[in-house]
Amino acid sequence: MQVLPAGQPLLPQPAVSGEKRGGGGGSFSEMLNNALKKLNDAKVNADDLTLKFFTGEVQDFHQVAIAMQEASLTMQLAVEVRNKVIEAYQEVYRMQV
Amino acid sequence: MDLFSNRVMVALKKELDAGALRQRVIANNIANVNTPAFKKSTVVFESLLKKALERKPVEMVTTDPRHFSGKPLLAGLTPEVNLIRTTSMRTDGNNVDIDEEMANLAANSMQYQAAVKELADRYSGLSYVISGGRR
Amino acid sequence: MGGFFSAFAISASGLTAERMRLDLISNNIANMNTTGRPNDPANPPYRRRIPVFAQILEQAEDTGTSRPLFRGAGVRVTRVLEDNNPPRLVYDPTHPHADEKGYVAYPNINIVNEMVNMITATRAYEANVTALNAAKEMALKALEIGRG
Repeated sequence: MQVLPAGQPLLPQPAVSGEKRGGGGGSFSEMLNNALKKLNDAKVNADDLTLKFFTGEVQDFHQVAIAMQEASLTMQLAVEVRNKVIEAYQEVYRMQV
Repeated sequence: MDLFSNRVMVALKKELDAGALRQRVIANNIANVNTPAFKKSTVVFESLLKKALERKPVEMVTTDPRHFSGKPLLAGLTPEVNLIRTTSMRTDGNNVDIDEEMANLAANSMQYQAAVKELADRYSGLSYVISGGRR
Repeated sequence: MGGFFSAFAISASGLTAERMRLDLISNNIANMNTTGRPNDPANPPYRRRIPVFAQILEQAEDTGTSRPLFRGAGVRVTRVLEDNNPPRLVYDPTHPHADEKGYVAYPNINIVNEMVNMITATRAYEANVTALNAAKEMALKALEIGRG
């Protein structure tokens, strides 16, 4: 049974995949930027909620726990995507022309 | 790439918020069980959640910023706090029923803990999937 | 869900208030037979003490949001009243505190009333303890969101 790499099903498919030259590149870097921005937002939100909890502004710990967990998972996803991208690049690099 | 906005996870997170609010409301009712003229409050959420989950979001075209968009109702759902003004049998006007509050306290605590467990399991599942089946 | 009054603080306020009521009741019972001269400021007769409970409401400036969902923040004792009912007069001319007609003013404290109040206060105290424990269990469980 083949376990699909985690990066694939979760990434949105680039709208136009091989039709324009470097089209994959343009939307891919956008995608990466979006992903990094989301990751940053998640971490900022988690930090913000943590501080708010300890100053008493936020009373429910579950909100902090949820934010931290989601930031952690987003980070994990980003790391996996990075690994897959590097693998894919290396494979292309190794191709005999 | 939004891992966390499927209906069940959003519903669970909102359930946690509602449970924490309800705990506060019940604690307040109990603390004021002997306060003259105090009227109890309750939290309504589960019935609202049921309604929100049943309705399918309607796709609506907007040509003007003032038009309603067909955003799903679940995202903006908040619990409601109702003040119960019924009269009571007590001479001091207080209508807290301590036994009812204790029962609600237990039920709410259980519901909250169940939601936490559910949510934790889902995060754990996501982590497993993300790391490609390795831990 | 904001505001500075957590579920713990609300239950704690209930515990404090009921505890104060119990203290006053104990004081009333202990002083059931404390007589005094009604018109003598140095020797006042004991008067039954009664706590006045009121609920605490969060003020708008405490919370971050302009219209908080729920403003109840527990209970407090605003004042301790002294019962103004007339004292119980007992005819006893030999008593040092007897007035010119031979009556001694005893505090108007009914032991049955005080015992009933004590039971109510104790039951409320225990209920607040249960509420506090429930909040604690929930908070501990929330810590597990990030585990595994």
